[in-house]
Amino acid sequence: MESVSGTLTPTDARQARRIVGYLEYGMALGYLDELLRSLTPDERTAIDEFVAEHESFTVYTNLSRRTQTRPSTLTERPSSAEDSFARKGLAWVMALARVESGAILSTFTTTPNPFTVVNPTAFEMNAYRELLMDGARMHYWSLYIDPALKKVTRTSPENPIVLSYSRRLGLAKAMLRAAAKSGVGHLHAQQYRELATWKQDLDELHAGLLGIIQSYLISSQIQSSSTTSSRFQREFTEACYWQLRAEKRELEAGNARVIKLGD
Amino acid sequence: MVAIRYFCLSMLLIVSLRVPLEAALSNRQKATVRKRIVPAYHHENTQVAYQLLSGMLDQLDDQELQEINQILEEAGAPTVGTLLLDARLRHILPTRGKSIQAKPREAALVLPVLYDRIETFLRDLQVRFGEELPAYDGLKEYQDAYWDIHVAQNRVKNTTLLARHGVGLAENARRGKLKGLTDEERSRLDLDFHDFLPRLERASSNLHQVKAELRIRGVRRASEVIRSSREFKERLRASYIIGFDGPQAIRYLEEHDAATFTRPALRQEDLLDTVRAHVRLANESAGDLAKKSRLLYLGMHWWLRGRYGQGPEGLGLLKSRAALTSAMAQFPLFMPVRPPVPTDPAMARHAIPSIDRRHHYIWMYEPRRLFVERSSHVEVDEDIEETKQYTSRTKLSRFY
Repeated sequence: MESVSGTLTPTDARQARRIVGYLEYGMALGYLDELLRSLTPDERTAIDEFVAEHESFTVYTNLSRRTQTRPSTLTERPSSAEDSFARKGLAWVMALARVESGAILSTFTTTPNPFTVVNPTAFEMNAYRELLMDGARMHYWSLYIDPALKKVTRTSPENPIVLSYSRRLGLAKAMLRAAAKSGVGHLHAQQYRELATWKQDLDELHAGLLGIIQSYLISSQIQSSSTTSSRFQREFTEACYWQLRAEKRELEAGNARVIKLGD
Repeated sequence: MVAIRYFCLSMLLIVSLRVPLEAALSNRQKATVRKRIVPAYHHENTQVAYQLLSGMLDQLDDQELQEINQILEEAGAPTVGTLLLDARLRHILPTRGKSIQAKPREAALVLPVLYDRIETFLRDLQVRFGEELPAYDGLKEYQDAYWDIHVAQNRVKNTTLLARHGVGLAENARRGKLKGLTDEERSRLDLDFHDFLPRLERASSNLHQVKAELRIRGVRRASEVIRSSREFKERLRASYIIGFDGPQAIRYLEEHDAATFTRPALRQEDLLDTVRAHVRLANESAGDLAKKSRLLYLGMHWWLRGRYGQGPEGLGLLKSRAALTSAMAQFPLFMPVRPPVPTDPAMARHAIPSIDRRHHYIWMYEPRRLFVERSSHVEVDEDIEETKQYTSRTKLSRFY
């Protein structure tokens, strides 16, 4: 008799080590955080100017404007007519390092609240908020206009691109959550409503992909001639264990809903 | 008579068949070059360019190669030999010299480019770091000069790897199947890379001395600034030079016999005591600025690596698989020679850096697999198999 079970190779947090930026931004923040704690206000200002004088440390913002396709309350406005969205100074340098580090943690580890774990301080909070929101906008708009997305939803989950897109949605959602949280006191009601709509869109997309994976495993089980109901349940749970674990957290938090097959 | 006629006719045919037809790339080959190799080059996907080119080589004669080189030039790409070499370099350097074997034809294309590159590098090095160092007034100019030497030292190390690679590549190619190579191509396999090794060693030794000389000069100047300037940013810069370069300069002088130095500036009497005195006086004036400057410069250095560094795989987004288990393997990155000036990715055609935000792309890296087991055999994903030799490379396609 043939036994059938589906398996998803587990999340391996070590994969984060392969990502360029994981070690580098982590080390940078280690040194710069210690520096920040040791500076007087005057010294902080002087160092901020010192960093701003070095062009290599310029950080451009509002990158999402190249993917935005419709008006949005969340669009970043230029600070003046001459605003080139080039930002300089130590705060922007540290903010970028934190956003990238948080994104790597979110994408490749099961660290809860990765964008809080990277420990933004009051010094760079404005910059951090802006880069986080720009990142959330970029991911949302890019998914919105992604010509490959429909094809992915019809692809067999055995193709790694399906898991890849699931990972992408997980990152987009985490960034959106972090952007919303950091925006408390800075976003108005209309912006929060739009964020909630975006969140719902991403939740539905993500749940849809999980549904595809689930139905793939169910259909694989049906093909087998030797399954019992208890084995089915055990294998079904094992197959999606890692993804279901993440989704269970979201369901308990009220951040997701499950689309059942046939709905 | 008829027999003679037929004989002449057959000889004519044989002669005709031996006259080569005018060589030309097929439309398919041209399309491969224009639509696949050129874009791969412009997207810095050297691996794809390499695979496509090396796969074509056996079918191409010299004229067809020339034609490909012309297409590449028109498209702003380098020659076949340079493309192949650059792709090999991206593999060799991160793996510290492990080489991909090359067929003799490919070696014949790559070796002359490699030889010229090493020769040009050594010549330029001689010119730039000759007898006299230029005078650097400001500390910023000193730091820029120091950076140049640091880059040159790394390039000497890398070039030494390349020279050894050239030795191995040539020796291996000469043992291969040489049938089908022209005389010109065979002669290229005889290029001697051994001669480069002692020259590179001498260059390395000279650069160490140049660096020491520059450091000592920088320490002297920094010591004056710390003791006399009230400008915070200048004192910060000076503190870093004293804190970082001072001990390095002292150690270098302690570890080397002055008689072995070829540079006159390092053979001054009581040089070590002088440098020690400068560092001591400067540290007394700097106070906690030394520590703060060190934290700042190290933080900035690591940030630059995170921002502009590129790994050997996954279009620069990834380090090698060895980074999963080896701390040492997490370190090597391709870095720009000069700290770049970034451009606005929303506006620029070719953004600097090419990776505007890492979080835009990293999700594409998916090491997990979903599969259904129908037997007792369990497949193990090689990413989590620690003892397995990492042989495959991870490819991503840039999405946005």
